[in-house]
Amino acid sequence: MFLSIAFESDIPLYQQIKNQIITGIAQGKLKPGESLPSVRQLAADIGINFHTVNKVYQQLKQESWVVIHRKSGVIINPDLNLQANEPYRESLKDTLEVLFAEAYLRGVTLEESQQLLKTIYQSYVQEVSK
Amino acid sequence: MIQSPILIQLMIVVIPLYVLGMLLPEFTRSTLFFGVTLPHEIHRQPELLQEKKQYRFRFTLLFTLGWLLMMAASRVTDSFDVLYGGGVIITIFMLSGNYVVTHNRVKALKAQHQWTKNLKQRVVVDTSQENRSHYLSYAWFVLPGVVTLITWLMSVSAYPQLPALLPRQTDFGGQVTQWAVKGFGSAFALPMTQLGMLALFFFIMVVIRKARKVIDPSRPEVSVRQHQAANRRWSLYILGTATWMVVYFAILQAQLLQLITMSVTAHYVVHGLSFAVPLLGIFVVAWFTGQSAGRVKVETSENTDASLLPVDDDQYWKWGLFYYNPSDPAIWIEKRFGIGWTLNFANPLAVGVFAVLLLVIAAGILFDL
Repeated sequence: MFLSIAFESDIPLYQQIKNQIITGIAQGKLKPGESLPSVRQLAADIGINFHTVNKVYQQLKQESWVVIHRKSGVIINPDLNLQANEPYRESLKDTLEVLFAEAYLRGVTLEESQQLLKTIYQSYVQEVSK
Repeated sequence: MIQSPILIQLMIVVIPLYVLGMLLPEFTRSTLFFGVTLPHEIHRQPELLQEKKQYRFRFTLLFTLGWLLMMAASRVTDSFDVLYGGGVIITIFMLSGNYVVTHNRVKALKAQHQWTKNLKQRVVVDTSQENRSHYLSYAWFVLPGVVTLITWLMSVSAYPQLPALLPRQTDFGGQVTQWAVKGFGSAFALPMTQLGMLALFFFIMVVIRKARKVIDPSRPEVSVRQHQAANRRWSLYILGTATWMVVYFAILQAQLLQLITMSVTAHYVVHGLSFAVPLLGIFVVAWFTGQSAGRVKVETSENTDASLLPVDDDQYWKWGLFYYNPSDPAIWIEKRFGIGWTLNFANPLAVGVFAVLLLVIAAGILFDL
């Protein structure tokens, strides 16, 4: 999968990498069990500090998106089993609340928001059914 | 006095060098123009085409002057090393100086016209490990390795029967100009150089793998496949050149050990080829590949997103020649202009590698004297 990183973005570098890896998993571009580059490799490829990449991998590991083996390196969690439990649903609502508050204030309509959500959701479903 | 075989040899070296210098601007990545980050579509702006024209004009002028100087020098010295070595070093300096002039002018034009103002800059990296498995196997180095081993075995077994004086230096035609007393230094000078060559080429092979591959965000898939092709071809070139060079030294050593005798003509041919084969090889690979395979055609359905540009790192390139970026952990990177790889001089490890390389070269020259 390709990671596309913008250096001048307001979103911190580690957040961009993390977001894209999670999206990649949902879209099926990163398969369970697939290897990711080592910390050194990825940092040198992007041209950023090792610590930034290390931070990404540690967070992804904590949230169980990846597993880190001493030998085989960083791989996408082959037994990824995420549940939409109550606390998660609550935090999802919180996140969306803020996002759509701004969208509403900027004049994005409900129809537009729904359409956008549909498009994004379909990108995951379609890839998985392939 | 220049003899005609030398003239022919000069032609074998000089003409490819000239053509190479003229074509260098065509070999770099499509998002660079004389080491300045600029989208490919901009490269045909009249101001830039004018710069390229002037670069070529100056190069032709300097190149002619430089080699005329070398020709004049050949009346004073008959040394193979001085002529070729000197000529090549002068060419490198001229090329670099001429490039820096154009680089600075293009940079100024870029600032003036703001060509990249509305483009989005992206670093694209490929996380797929599969795409890294297309490299040529290191195991291929067994080939030149075996040739080197045979040369050493041959030298060791022939050593006791060698005469008390051994040739130390020969001229173009293979006539001995200097003799040395038999000993390890004189009998094994060539195999030592050969071993050094083998190590050097293996090192370059490692660098080809390690060097960062900059992916063009406007068409990443094409870019990755081009890099794969480039890695493969340049690795093959290095392997081929390594093999040819160790064979060349094996021939020279066999002659020193008096296992073979070569005619004057054969000597000219072998010497000439020792320079011509690697040079012509670069020429052929560069022509069909380019530095990072910008010239390789890739069958693709990928759409080009012309609004994207690789990250503009012009500010980290001093004179467009030396990369100095303390926040970049990469050690090996592609050269900004021309063909080959360079170091990130802000990295202590890179500086160490560079110092060791300089020492090795200096030691090689001292050993040769």
